[in-house]
Amino acid sequence: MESYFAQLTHWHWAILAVGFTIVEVLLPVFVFLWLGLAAGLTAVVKYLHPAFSWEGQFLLFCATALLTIAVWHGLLRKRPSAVGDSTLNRRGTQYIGQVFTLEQPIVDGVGHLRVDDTFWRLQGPELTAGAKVRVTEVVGNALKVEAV
Amino acid sequence: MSGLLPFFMLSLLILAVILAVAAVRVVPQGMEYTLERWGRYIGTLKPGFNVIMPIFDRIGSKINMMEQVLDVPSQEVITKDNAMVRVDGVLFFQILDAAKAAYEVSNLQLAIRQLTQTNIRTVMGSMDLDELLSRRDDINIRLLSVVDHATGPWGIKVTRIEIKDITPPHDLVESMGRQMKAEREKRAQILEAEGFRQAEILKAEGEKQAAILQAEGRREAAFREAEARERLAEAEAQATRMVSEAISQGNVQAINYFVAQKYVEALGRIASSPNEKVILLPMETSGVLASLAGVAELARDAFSGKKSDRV
Repeated sequence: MESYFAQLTHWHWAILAVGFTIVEVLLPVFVFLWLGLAAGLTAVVKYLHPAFSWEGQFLLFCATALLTIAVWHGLLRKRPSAVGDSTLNRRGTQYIGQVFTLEQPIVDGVGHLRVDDTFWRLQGPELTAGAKVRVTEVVGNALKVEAV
Repeated sequence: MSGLLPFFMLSLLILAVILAVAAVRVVPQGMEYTLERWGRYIGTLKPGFNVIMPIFDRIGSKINMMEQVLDVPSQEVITKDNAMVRVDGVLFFQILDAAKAAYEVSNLQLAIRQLTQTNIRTVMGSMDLDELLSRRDDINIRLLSVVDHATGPWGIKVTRIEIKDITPPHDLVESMGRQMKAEREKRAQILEAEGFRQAEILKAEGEKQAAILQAEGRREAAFREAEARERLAEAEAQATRMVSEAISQGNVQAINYFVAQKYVEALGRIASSPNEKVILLPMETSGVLASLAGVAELARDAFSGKKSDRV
């Protein structure tokens, strides 16, 4: 088996890279992309340094496969804008910053507000019905409001 | 020894692939995964590309953050006035906090469903059947308020509870139908009576108007008649005055001539009537003769006048 691994050329790694990429396209799980990248990188190193040992190639592949994932994860963390600051599926946060008119007064810091034909509980200062409020925060399933 | 190196390398490669697969977690939009390290909740994976530490970290629950619909199964409810009705509904909720929904309650859907069912019973049990059927909006709002409050600690927001069907028992439906029919019949009969009354009033009004108009006509006619009689009398008086004036200026015998002429004319008419067998004569036939005498006197006077004229 050792003699077999010793015969590995950059072509083997290149084929592996393409194979991983194909799997990634068929199963979009965002994992095989990194494995393909690692295999490609190994192929390039082997091509540039034909004397690169097969053990070294294996270790390089394993290291780059895990490192690329870590690097991409780090990049996303640094630039959250790349992830997108969507309020999709975050029902309460969609209302933050919006101004509503109270139909019922806020008594003892608790009130109710009709939004999109459902009722939200409110937390906020004592206010009479008809006052305008702005949503500042979502606390559990209640909206925190301030007077406008 | 070195004969096992290729196997070690191969297993290392397989381990790297498996670690890579285990580390990358892509969360689809609409879902959130809870992350556990050594079995303890440490965070929530948001939609998108996520990396977890393999071996230490595990995905706890995959929570659906989209609004979900829950059927509230049909159940028997006894109303305040002891009617047994069958009620079912539908509930919409959305998870706001994946961690609370995952760990604060076990079997979230069952919990929400049971809570809603018991609250339907509470709310509806405090109402009469008639209220139940006519104030569904109130019921929905009350239910929503109670259930939303109660499910708050589970990190969910109940957006809507709707009562779908309220089915009273069969015999009650029947009597409700009869009640409705009677109600409508009552209204129809009242309307009919109202119409009849209105018609009678209108008719009487018409009759009254007609009578008034008639009386007015008669009054007008009487006035005119009286006027005519007055005029007639005036004319008669005028005529009489003129006749008497004429007489006072002329001979008194002239009047006798007129009277005699009228008498004779009347007699002639009586005589020439087709009923010849009976001839009625005025009682004072002698009057006619007297008038004849008057004529004779007239003639004599006239002749004597002529004579005296000649003389």
